[in-house]
Amino acid sequence: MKIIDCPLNGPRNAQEFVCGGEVRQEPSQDAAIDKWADFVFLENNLQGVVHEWWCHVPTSYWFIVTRNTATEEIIATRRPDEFFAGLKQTDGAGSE
Amino acid sequence: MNKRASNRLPEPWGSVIDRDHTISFQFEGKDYRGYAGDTLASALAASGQWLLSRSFKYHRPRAALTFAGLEANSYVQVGDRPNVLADLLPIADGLSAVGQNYLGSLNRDYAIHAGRLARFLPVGFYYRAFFRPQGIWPLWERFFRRAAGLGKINPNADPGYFDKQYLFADVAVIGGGPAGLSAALSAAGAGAGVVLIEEAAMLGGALNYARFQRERSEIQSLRDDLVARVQANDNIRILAGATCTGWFTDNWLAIGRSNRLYKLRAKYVIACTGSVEQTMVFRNNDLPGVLPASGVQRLLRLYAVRPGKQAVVATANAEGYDAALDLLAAGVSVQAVIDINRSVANPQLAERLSAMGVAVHHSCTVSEAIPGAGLRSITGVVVNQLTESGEVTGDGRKIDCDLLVTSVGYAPLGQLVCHCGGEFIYDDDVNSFSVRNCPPDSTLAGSVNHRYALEAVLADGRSAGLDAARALGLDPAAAADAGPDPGAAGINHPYPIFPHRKGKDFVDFDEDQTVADLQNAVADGFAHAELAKRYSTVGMGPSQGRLSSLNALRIVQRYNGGILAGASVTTQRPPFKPVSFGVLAGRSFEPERLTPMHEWHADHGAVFMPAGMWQRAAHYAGAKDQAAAVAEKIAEEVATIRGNVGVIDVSPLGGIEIRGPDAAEFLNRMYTFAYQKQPVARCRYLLMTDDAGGIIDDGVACRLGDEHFYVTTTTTGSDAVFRNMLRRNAEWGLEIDVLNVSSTYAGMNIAGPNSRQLMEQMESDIDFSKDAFPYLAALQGMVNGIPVIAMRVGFVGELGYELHVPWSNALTLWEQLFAAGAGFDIRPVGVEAQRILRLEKGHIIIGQDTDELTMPRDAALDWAVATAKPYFVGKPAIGFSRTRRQSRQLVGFRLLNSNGPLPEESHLVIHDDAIVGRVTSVARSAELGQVIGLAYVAPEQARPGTIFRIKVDKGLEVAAQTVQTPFYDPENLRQAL
Amino acid sequence: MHRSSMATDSALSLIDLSALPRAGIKGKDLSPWIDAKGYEIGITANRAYPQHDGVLVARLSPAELMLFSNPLDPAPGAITNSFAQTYKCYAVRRQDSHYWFALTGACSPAMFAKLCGVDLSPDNFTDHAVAQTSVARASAVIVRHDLNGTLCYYLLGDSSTIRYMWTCLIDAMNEFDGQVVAF
Repeated sequence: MKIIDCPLNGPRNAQEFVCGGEVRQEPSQDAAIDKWADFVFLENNLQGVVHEWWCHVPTSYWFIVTRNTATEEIIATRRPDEFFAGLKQTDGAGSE
Repeated sequence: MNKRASNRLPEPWGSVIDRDHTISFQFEGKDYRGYAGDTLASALAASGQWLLSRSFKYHRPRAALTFAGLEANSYVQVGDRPNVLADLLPIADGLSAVGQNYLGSLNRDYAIHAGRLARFLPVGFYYRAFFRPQGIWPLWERFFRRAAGLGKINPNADPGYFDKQYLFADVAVIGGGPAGLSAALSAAGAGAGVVLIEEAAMLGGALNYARFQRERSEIQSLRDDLVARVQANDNIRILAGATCTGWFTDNWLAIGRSNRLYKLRAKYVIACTGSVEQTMVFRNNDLPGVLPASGVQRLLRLYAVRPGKQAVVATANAEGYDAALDLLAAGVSVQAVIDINRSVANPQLAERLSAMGVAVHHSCTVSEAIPGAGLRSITGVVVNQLTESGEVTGDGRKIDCDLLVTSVGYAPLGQLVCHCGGEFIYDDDVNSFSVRNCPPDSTLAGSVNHRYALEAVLADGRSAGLDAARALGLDPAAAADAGPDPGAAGINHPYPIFPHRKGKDFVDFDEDQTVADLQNAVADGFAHAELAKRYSTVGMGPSQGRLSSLNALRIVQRYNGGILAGASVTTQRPPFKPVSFGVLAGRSFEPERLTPMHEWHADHGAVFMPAGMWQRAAHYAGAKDQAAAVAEKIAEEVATIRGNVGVIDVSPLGGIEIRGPDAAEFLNRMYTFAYQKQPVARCRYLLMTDDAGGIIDDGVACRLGDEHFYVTTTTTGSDAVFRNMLRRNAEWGLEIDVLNVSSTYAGMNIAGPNSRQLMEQMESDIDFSKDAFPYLAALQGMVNGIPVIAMRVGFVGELGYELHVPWSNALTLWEQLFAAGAGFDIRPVGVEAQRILRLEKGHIIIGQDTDELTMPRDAALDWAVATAKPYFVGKPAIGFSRTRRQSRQLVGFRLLNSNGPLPEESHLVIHDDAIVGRVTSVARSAELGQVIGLAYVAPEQARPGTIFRIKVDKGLEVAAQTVQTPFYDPENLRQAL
Repeated sequence: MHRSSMATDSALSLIDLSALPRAGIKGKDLSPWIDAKGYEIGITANRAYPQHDGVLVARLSPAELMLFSNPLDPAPGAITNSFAQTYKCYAVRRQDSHYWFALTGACSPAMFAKLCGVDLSPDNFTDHAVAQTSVARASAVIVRHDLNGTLCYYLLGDSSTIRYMWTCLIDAMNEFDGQVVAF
């Protein structure tokens, strides 16, 4: 069973977590219906490196996992503030 | 061989048996005796009973081969337990076992005559027999149900007690043979905490019975020394009698031992799982009397059983010569050693045997075994010359014998490694499978890694232990130095397969596939090894190809002209060995949540029902069987609320506290309604939608302060809603604290026209009068010295007060309410009555009256959507939906005929022969004297007064009429009293 | 409150401490409150820090603490969180929301290993370590707090699961001849 290194609790069995889906930027409130329909109903389903929300159930602690869906390797686990600050720095990482 | 003579050898043979301790047992209804330490198979063999089972298809006699539980030949039924391996089962007083899979008796199985039909049961039989003529299947089915399966299950068997335990180790060593013992010692020596897992009760593996081309005494001393050092080492924990059945991600191992499942997390895994001896293919190679060398050596050394009186040894390697020496030492006459190589595999041992009077031949092979009576033994073998290219030639000559020992090589037992990414690839260098792609932080050692010579095995184990120590940072300088075994190429014969024109040259002993079957599979177009396997089912029996996949691959590649080197076989999957359902299933944990008043409910006749993980009182009728009596009690509870005063335990409702400067803004974003201007000490309805605009939760928000809200959620949704709130705020970064208080406060809903009078009986600083405590107010104060949050909400549609009380004080207050209410004849009220009361008010139940597609408009909840807000979850979707035609509407209905058939939830609403909706809730209302409910209907049927049809059971239809909700007290006067 | 000796010779004991005071406090910046109490609390999460007044403070996260009174000498009044608002923190009613058990004795790690996938062995899970994890599939907080030299683990979980967890513990303890000790 996979081990996930929780930023708060350290390495734990994957069974202690639930996945909350890909990290995505939601469209603005007044965006057109096709943008919202894509956001709500379609998934990128990437083979490769993705960023996902994961929750440690016993503590209800949310964090971001960066992993490779093809190799199952977990590349990094980060606190949300750390992750989003990192995004801002790389600036223009894009919404893909 | 079937005489009840004793095949037992005297001491010092038999290292695991205790001759001072005799045990009586039964097999197939006959009495036998053996020694403590014997397995069922060894004790029976000692008495001359070799036959243990019948093969699956042709019902040919089967005897144990490896005596190590590696093949399915030794499956027997023991009491209620089917498919027990007789060569692993220790005998005990009172043991009674029978064979499986026969018609008649094990010794005289009438089903063997299926063998005569062999011509009509070619490969691919299962794919072809059932299509024509039309309708033939039921006849086949009856036959197969009787013939199918192995063993019998007793559906009334008592479940045993099973358990689980987690284990943690720096290094896990799987296998306690020479490689495993060395690896454990070198890893532990570097400071690692080691868990050593061994399937047998005794450590040592091949050191317990093999010669490694030396004298047995030398090997035994080495074994004793290694085992003693392992047992004395504090860093090594030994798990004996334990089978590792699965290897999962990040070195997570499943280990079964008796009634316990261990889940071991190791930082590093060393697989020293050994190898399994392969069979030689020739006519009648499956008969009792044909044994692999390792099986013979185990029988001799461990159990002191002589496997025959006159033996022939057919070998391709030095191990066969070792076996011949062992047989001679045991007093078995060895008629010949038939070396199937072009020249003898081990000249020194060949010379030694010649000097002892044993004829040693090379460049020839056994082409056929000659069956004895009933195919239960052999009486001799036929030996032929081999051409340069390894084919049988010339006239054979017969050699009399009752035992043929074969030794043609091994396949690594690398199945566990393949569970997490490893692969079996055919390796020309060793003429066998090699395991490629070990997962990270693991390695192989020993014969599984094609090390066979004793020094090579020990060095490989030692090296692996040092690899582990280095990987764990315990000994960064550790140098692993073992190289490959230079003699490995001479161990496994590349093609020990000699097809016979008269057939019965078996490749797989479970499923009875012969060489011709595989040849035909290729000819039928299933040429790739994976296809040939599925078509012929070779390797799909209980032995899982351990003794057949290697030869099968060789044969398929030869017939399809493919290259053997680099070819792979089907993926190995857990479990490696069969695991009982009991071990997998139990000790299962299912948390149960109880309210503080649970015992009180039970003492007052409550019958409980699950609501998520909670147990809620459904009603208080006690354990009455008659539905009518229960229905009557529920109706009484309803009447109590409508006419008097009752209390409902609503503790399972979710509770969340939101505190902080941005609390109201947070609610505005999470829910559809507006909360900024909600006054303190007031309640407001909460409706939550998701990004698709679908309703996912509802509840009540009490504003306890400018920056303090106490929010309730539906029972089953509370954990998910709480997590969702935290997730959203991780993105929004509002200044709030969100706290799950579901088990901090217990809730009790006191409702009925007399509820105010009841509350005024209690000692409280809260004024319960209508002016001080109007409908929808939320006040904090003390009741009988206990702090409460008190609110007036719609809930069941009567005057009422819902108290939220700290968990520790809840039972006390509950009892005091009932004491104070004794004069009112106060009653507890359960969930069933609650449902009816709320349905009479048209209140929806999230998840029952709504589904994932229900938008607020569909449930007539648009009034709770504040579209003026700049942002809430679901706002864009709800906006888009308003421009589209509505497809269905949730409405209240009543049945025109209360005495007819009753609809149930999910019965369909029909309009113009189309399905336009379904019933979501329905109940008989005594108060209203009719059957009412909620249903989705077509928008044009939503107008009150419209008649529509509901399709109920047995194809009948009933008529319903749309009714404006609430059904009861439409003006909502009573709850606002 | 009464004093009692919790150090027994038994290899495994289970004690219900739920009647003893405990509390929680949350907030983005807890240092004003910590300073006002005169406490010294490290920043490492999932560790417990014994204080001068006998209170054990477990840091569950950068923004949350849990306070335990001393079972051997539970001074009333030491644990209170009605002060929280003064310091812009939030009170958590741990007295109500969670039960509090203690498991003591050399066999307690082996017993836990039947219910919990985190390695709680004394070498790995040192004194004052905290684990927030799942025990018998229910969320729980485990704090190691050896008392008078006896290995001791606190176990806290949702109040609604108290009967369920008690049953699981009794069953798991059976193998080790575990005893229930009255507090």
